[in-house]
Amino acid sequence: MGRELPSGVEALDGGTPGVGLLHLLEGRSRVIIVDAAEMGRHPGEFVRFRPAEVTLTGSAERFSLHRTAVADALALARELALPMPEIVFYGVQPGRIGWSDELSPEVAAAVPELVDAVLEEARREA
Amino acid sequence: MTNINIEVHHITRVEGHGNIVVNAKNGVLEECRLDIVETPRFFEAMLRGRPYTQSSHITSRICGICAVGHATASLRATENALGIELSEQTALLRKLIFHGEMLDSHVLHVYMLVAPDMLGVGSVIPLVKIAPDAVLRALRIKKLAGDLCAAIGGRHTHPIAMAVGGFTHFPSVAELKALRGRLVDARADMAETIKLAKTLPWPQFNRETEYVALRKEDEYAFIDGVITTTDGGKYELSDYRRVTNERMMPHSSAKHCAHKRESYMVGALARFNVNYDKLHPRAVAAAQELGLKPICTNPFLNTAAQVVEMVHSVEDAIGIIDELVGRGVHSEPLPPFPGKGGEGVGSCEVPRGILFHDYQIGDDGRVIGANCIIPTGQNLANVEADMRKLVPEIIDRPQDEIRQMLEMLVRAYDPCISCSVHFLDVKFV
Repeated sequence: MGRELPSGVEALDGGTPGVGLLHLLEGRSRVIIVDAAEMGRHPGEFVRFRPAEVTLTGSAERFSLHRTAVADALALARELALPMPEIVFYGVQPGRIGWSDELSPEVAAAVPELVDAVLEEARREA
Repeated sequence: MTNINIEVHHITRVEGHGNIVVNAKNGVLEECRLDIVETPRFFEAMLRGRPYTQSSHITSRICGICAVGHATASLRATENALGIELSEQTALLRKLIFHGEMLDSHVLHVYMLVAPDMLGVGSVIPLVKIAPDAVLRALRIKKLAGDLCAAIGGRHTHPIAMAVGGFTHFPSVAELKALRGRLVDARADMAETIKLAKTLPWPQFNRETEYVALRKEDEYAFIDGVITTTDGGKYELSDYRRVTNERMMPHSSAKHCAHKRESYMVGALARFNVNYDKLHPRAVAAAQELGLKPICTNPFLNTAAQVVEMVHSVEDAIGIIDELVGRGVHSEPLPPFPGKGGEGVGSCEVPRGILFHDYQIGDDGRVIGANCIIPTGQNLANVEADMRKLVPEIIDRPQDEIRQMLEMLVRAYDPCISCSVHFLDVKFV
């Protein structure tokens, strides 16, 4: 029930797109980014926030392209004055960051509620 | 006498980091090393026990930049293990998406990492102020590359349509024709990129080493071929261990590789040196314009070789699209599991150099064992050897300048630092 994407909404697995994030955002009116976020909360807690409400730490690492984070991509868009959609984040406090293909039990338990919240956000009138 | 003590230390928030450590006392180099910890071995453990059809999707997650490359090496290892032959169409589509990734990765490295260094700005953000057109051009090329990957692979990063023995999605002829038009238009951006590369003040530094790359007699090899070295080595893919000779180093948690010398180099410059005669004529012209000739022994010019390869990828992609459009693109079913497992090695030239995946698959179709050898690991010993020669040559310069040169040297190799995990670091204001 109500687990379908509203019409006109596309779900994308962004992977680790780096600067490519800009191309994923291009031409869209509204974007909800769901990602793990270090917020000092309890594992599995999720928080809705807008870019203006937070400081996203960019990456100091410049040895490699592999460190281009969401914050760097958005900073570049701002600098170039590229038209950007309205962005809302759903940050999820991770239980553990490491090498696995499974969510921590706390985050796994939070997924149904998170999905409901994101779907409700997607249904909201812009 | 000169004392230097340089430590560039990046403990990052997640797995993987790069450190440069250089010490000299009374002008004598005491310590000179680079640590880059890349841990695809955890992926090897993740593959064990999984159906063979999942390997390419899991290993594509090793990297957001070389996702197509890891998927390709993984698929070739699986196909070689299971004795699965590819159709001509599959081979063409694989080559085409590979060009997309090569272009995507090279343009970012040239414009976002190397150009800011050489133009004396800290990063790409201030580069926007002095050269906004260049940054917009880079994004335009990147978008074309990403769209090419998405048309063939089903999405921009981590291709979903590439499967063992073929594809699960096929581009339409109309999509291919549209991409062809954009690739032709991109020639102007390639010309501007060459112009930019010509103006960059490339550091003058040379050191002879062995260059290792895949080679094919009929094309500039990116997928499959014979492992070939500038010291005369030639090996079948299944003999890759005779080239890599991975060994543990007491000072580093990453293994080092060596073939005939203390180290070897892989990547765009190695491919250029091994396969110069197979480049597209327009890429050869680009090399000539940049004054790049084989065998080039300046590791900083790895980035210039990437520019040459960008031109090659644009031109070869146009040629492949013409071939695909000419023969028509047809939906082809995936081959079934042959009922018997085996061992196979897959190899391709990802943007950073030669990559090997080696799989054992059981008769039940599940992965028994896997080994992935990434280019950056193979380059580590060579970077350190470069540092040992470079530091004495510049030891009289200010320490900051030495540090900058060393960082630029490391960046020239376009190193891969594991990027499989990412998250936001958030402070509420």
